[in-house]
Amino acid sequence: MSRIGEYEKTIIVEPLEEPIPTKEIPKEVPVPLKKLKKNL
Amino acid sequence: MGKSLVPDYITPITGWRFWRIFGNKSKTADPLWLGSIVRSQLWPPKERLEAECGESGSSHTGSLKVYCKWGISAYKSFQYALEDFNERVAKARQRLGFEPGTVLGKVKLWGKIHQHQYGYRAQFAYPFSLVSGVCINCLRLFDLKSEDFILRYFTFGSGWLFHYNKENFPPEIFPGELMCSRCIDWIAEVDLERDEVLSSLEKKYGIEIEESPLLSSILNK
Repeated sequence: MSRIGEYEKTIIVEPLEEPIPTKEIPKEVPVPLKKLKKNL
Repeated sequence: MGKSLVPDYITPITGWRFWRIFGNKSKTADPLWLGSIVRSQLWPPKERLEAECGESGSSHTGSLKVYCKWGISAYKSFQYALEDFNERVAKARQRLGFEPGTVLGKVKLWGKIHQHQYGYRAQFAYPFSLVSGVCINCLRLFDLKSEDFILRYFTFGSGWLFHYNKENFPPEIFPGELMCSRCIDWIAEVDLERDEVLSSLEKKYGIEIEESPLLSSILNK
């Protein structure tokens, strides 16, 4: 362990959310114009 | 992780570490991977990496031992990582070799973490960003965000076999070598241009490319 030096202490880190990006980046799905008109 | 223990922190620790770039020669989408610099292991995209005990092969969940040599290691600061890099370069110049495809960046650490003088050994980790690459020709640490560079796949038989056990990797995965803007003219073969390298890693791991603190300090002077 010479590269990171001598051991000092142990800590526990429990993040509320793990720092991992989501599997898919959510993208805005374009709504077709026809569907948009029907809903109006 | 034992739920009975009261956590010291509820946000991940940020460390600095070196990775190596590996890639799929067959030009698939997002062909590049980050791999360990000392072990024949690829880092999984969009999944945490968990420390394993090299002796028993078992997971360390909940029981990472203080003096066990494993754990995912990282430096506390860019400065400590830089000092290690300079030492490794000095050794590399003597024995004419450096691990090809080396990059430096930030890593998020959590779980049970052993804190050392200059760094950490963690139970869980995920890459956060990349800032610098190491040129295989001049061994210079260059800024990934602002400088041009290229990647070419490692060619066997050239004598650069550092911590690389081909049997531990899928057959199509090869180490990559980076070459900085000053040395690009030395080679004829280019497998991936700078933008392709960065885009592949950003997309695969969901990470950022950040400006090097070294460059920031020079620009702010």
